[in-house]
Amino acid sequence: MHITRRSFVSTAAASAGLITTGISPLRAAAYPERDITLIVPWAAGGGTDALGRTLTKNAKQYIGVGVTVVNRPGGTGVAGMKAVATAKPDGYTLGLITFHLSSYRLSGLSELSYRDFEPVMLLNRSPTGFLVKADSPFKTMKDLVDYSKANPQVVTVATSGAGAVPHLSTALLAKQLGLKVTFVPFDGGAPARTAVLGGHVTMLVVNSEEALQFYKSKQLRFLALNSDERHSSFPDVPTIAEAGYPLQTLLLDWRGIAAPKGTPKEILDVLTVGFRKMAQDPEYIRLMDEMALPRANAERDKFREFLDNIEKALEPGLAEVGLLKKI
Amino acid sequence: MFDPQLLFAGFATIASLKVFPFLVLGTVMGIVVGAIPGLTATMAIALLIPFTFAMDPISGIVMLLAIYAGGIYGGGVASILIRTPGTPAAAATLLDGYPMAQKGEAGRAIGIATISSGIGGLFSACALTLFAPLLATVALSFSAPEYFSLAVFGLVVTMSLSGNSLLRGFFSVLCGLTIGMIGIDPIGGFQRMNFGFSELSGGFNFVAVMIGLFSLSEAFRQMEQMDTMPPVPPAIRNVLPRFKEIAGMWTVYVRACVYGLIIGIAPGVGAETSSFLTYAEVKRASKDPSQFGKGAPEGVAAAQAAENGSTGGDLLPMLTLGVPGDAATAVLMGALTIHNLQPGPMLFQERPDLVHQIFAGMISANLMFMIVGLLGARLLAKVVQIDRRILVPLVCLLSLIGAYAIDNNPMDVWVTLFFGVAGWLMYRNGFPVSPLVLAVILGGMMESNLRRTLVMGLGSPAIMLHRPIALLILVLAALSLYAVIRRNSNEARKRKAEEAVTE
Amino acid sequence: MKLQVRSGDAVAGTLLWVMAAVIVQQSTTWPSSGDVAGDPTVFPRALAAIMFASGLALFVLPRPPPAREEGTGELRTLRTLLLIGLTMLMALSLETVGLVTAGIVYVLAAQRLAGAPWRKALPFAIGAPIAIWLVFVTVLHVPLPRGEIWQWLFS
Repeated sequence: MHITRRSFVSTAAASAGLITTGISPLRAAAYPERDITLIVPWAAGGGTDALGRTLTKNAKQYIGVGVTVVNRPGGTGVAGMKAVATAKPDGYTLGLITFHLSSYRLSGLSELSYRDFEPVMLLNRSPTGFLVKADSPFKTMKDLVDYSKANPQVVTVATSGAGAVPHLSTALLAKQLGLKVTFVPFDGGAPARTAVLGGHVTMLVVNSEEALQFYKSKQLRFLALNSDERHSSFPDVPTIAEAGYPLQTLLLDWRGIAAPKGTPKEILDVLTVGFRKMAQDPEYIRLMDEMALPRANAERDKFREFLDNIEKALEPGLAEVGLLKKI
Repeated sequence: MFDPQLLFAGFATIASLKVFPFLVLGTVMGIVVGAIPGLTATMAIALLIPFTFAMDPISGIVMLLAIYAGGIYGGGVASILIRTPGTPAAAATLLDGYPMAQKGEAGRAIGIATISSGIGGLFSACALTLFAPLLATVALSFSAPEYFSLAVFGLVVTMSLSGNSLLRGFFSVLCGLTIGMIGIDPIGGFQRMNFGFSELSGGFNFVAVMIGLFSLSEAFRQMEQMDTMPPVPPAIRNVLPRFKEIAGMWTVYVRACVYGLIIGIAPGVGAETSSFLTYAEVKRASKDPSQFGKGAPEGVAAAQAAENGSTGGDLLPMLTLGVPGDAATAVLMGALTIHNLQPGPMLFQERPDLVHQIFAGMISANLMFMIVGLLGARLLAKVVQIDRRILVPLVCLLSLIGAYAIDNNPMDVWVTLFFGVAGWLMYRNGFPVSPLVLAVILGGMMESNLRRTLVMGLGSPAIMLHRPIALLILVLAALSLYAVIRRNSNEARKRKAEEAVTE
Repeated sequence: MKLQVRSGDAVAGTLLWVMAAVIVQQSTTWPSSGDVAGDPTVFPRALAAIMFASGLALFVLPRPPPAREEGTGELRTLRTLLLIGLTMLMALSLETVGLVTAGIVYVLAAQRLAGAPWRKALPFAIGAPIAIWLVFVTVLHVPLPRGEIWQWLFS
């Protein structure tokens, strides 16, 4: 990573602080003494924003200080995540990092990767759902696979966007089964869902939570879930392996909390305990369940390991759809 | 699914002491925040979501709805007074509102803007209340081909904002389309035209572009002419427009309400598109289009009525399908989610009471901002009386801060400055900026949906033949194009004839 | 009202050509796989072709002069250029010295440039940035730049 003016200034300031005061155990014990800022790299009102705000709603009660959510959208998440990575590693600036971080380096967008962060806690992992409209003639995954084998390119598949997890998962599945489908990328899960509901596109692949309402109202039908286990919000939906197509690689969408690289271990310990408690807040749990987001609780090194695996799984997916452009 | 009893109960809830104060509070905050450049209705809702945590859901939601309606309306006030759109949607208002204020009619302009916003807002709120399920099927029948046609129609109509030269207007459109291409390829998902800057990977921040083109450029222009510009005459008329004046513009309102509602219902297309489109269309259809841009009350009425006319439409797909109509409703959706209410078909089945409270809240919010707006107009109108030498630098500062605050991004200050200079140069050379702004919005919509249409048709454009709505819109676009070109060539001929006489 | 090709139009025409060339050049670097609609370059290149033609038209076809609404007197362009320069300085220093400091200096300088007397300019120049700070930062928690220099000096 090259040194930008901003990061240089902040590192200089940080090292100056280290030399003059040093981070003594006493000082670390005092952390946190003022409000913590949580940078959300996506616009207010989105799912990530809702997650961040609900998670930190009762922060004061669990960590002693408030957590202010600051939205810093722009540059497909790069702007916000970069702001976190280059912030002063004093524990007062944290970030809600998302799946896109795994893809920046591979798609050639930015050198930013999980290596620039101290992962604190994984919040959720979302599997991709394969769905059709309720009145579709395809009743099972097998119907659809057989049909598209017989009629290459004819099945249209609405995705939440090129290069996102549902698109890549489906591309990998199609490759493994030797299918040819036509991807119709939309700008997010909601417009893709609307296109399938309106009967304009045959199949919908989105993060499973995006389909919850329409699963409940029986307007959309799940064919399978791209996961290794069933989802508590969709108990009758088979996993892709149960539907008869075991997968070689499993890609999952994720969100988590991270601190800038170089944050002292004492501070990370405080944060880990604090966020663990916040993630057990009943209100937060209720929101996650209502949104059909499977909660995950990998912390620190386990989170890092998860990120490492996702990056490895992502590479063949991006290569398959022609978006691999490694830096 | 409309139930008069539940709606009545909804109004009773709104009028209760537990909710009503928040309606008033939300309206006032919405107008204030909407009128401050850089604080959009969208941001205001987002920023105030945490404050609703402690309230019970309906009070919080009514407050946010009031901020939404009031904020969309309030944006027009700043447009009229300082030519800085308070919210993106209000940019069309400044085209005639600001000239009116400069003629000493600031109060009258605000009055007309308020009443017009109210008319548009009430119409769409009532349409939402009465026909939500029916309109939801309309929203579902819109897909890529229809959006593509709508974008083409919009770009054609934009051409009528070209001023005295169609070619110069077309230049602005082309610049806008190019700027709109920067960022992610909408279908392939790869980066294009970002020249290696990851900051540009999502494209230019639209609000920063717009504040630069409209607001900062005007400050630069005024700086240049400060000594010779006539001072603004003091307000001469009452803010409350005469009934006759409003009634005389009924054709404007019919257009504004219909366009606002349709564009609002189309998911992802919001108030900024509807206000500009309606403005351009009303101008095109007007008997004397030359008055537009010089302080025509019809222009203010069209922009404001369409702006608020799309609010109900924008709420509709959000509530029924869970797909937000525009950025502001996307944030509202987030707020509902945080209050444990998932928008979508189940909301109507599980909580019809709450849905009707939302309807009642939306209708009340529109009435409330009319009252507050008319009361405050007299006071606000004084802003234009401030000495230009004092006001212009303040407008510059507000523009820069506004651009920064949208995404908290220092680069957006430079974006605004760049487009401020560009807008100033364009003005000096007779190039209109509004077509550029609209082309930035519509360009991405046109390209992505054209390509999406082709993908959906498995590569063949024949899919368009099976889409009657899309075809109808395209035919309308062709007719408008013909009308615009004919009018322009008529004007050119007239000019030539005048020249011949003077020579 | 004389129809002629004005220098502004010629510059605009050149600009269109440059943008068209950039689009065509950039489009050669785009990947094309995964899109049954064919090439992602078709739409942008078609646009570039239209831009080339329009640029040519701007060079060749005479246009009416731009309509100027008011301000018949002489234009003091230098003042606007100075204001643009000032704005650049403001943008450069914003992060370092913070909004309030940069804002006060900027507004004051711009008001003096516009010809406002000190007596009138000072209260607005000091009041406005502070008011903005109170509304945006204190009330609404929008994180405007505080100024790295202050953080560095006082931490």
